[in-house]
Amino acid sequence: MRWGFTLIEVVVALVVLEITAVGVAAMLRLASVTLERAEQLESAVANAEGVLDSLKRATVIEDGTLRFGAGDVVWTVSDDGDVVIRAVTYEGVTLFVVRTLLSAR
Amino acid sequence: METVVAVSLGTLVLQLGLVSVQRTRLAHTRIVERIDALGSFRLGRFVPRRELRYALAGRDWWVDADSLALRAFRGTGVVCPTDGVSSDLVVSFRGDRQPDPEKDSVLLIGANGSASVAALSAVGTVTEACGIGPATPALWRLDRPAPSQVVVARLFERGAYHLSGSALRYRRGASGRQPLTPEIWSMPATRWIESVERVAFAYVPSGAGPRRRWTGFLAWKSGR
Repeated sequence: MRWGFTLIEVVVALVVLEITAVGVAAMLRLASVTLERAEQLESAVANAEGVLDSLKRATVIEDGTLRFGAGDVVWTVSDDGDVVIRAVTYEGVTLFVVRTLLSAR
Repeated sequence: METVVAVSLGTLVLQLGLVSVQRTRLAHTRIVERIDALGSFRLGRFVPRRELRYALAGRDWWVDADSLALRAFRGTGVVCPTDGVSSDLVVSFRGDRQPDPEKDSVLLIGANGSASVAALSAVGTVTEACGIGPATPALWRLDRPAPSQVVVARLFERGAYHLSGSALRYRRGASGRQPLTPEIWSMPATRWIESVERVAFAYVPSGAGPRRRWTGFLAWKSGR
């Protein structure tokens, strides 16, 4: 009797290794995508805070847009006079929508 | 023949394994760096904004190159009524931390709205004060007699935030600059951005591309 691995055993081991490697890579990819979203959100919040501070001082509020690293912060005056702030990525994904307590009227 | 196949497959497996480990480690390192940068940015955005929220530019804070010097509000003491003028005040204190005579100064506000500044020389304990609610009774000794009719003593800490040495740092009083974030920021791209009207900030992690430049608003320089 000869000791060692058969070709089938080696192939099975390779497949298992491949599945594990693909799983780890997928987890890292998912972590990276989630982190990307968190970065966009953080950046949007930082810029939306600045917009909100500016709007609080403004005597007249009109619709506007602020471009930042990950997308746009857009503020609009709704029909009932409330100011709504929306953050959108360059890919068109809405990060958040905030209806503020500010009123344009 | 079997030996050749075994050696070839073994080499392939080893190579694949090494490449996988290397790439996984690299990806993991990058993710950890980005998480560090994200957490640090949040801290660097939130803390100075909170400190300056109710402060007045020029009087309470000012920017000088990499420094953001300020008198940071740390708490309020309701002054118990006394007879006459004294440098000792019995207060009911409520604040972020306990007063420290080595670092703190006090803004004394009178019943008529007058204000004056005094340094805190010593802090003692008293068993009872006049405050209402969850406040700490304390005896504050000032470096000068407090004006009569003082009703409130606001406690301030002298300090400065610095964007230096690749980190956001805080220097309290005359002590050294202590890092608040890891040393991950690219200098001088990471800085306070000062204009006539306002102060903003830009944080750029080391080795990051243009999309990783994080900016935000800090405070207005003119009154509200």
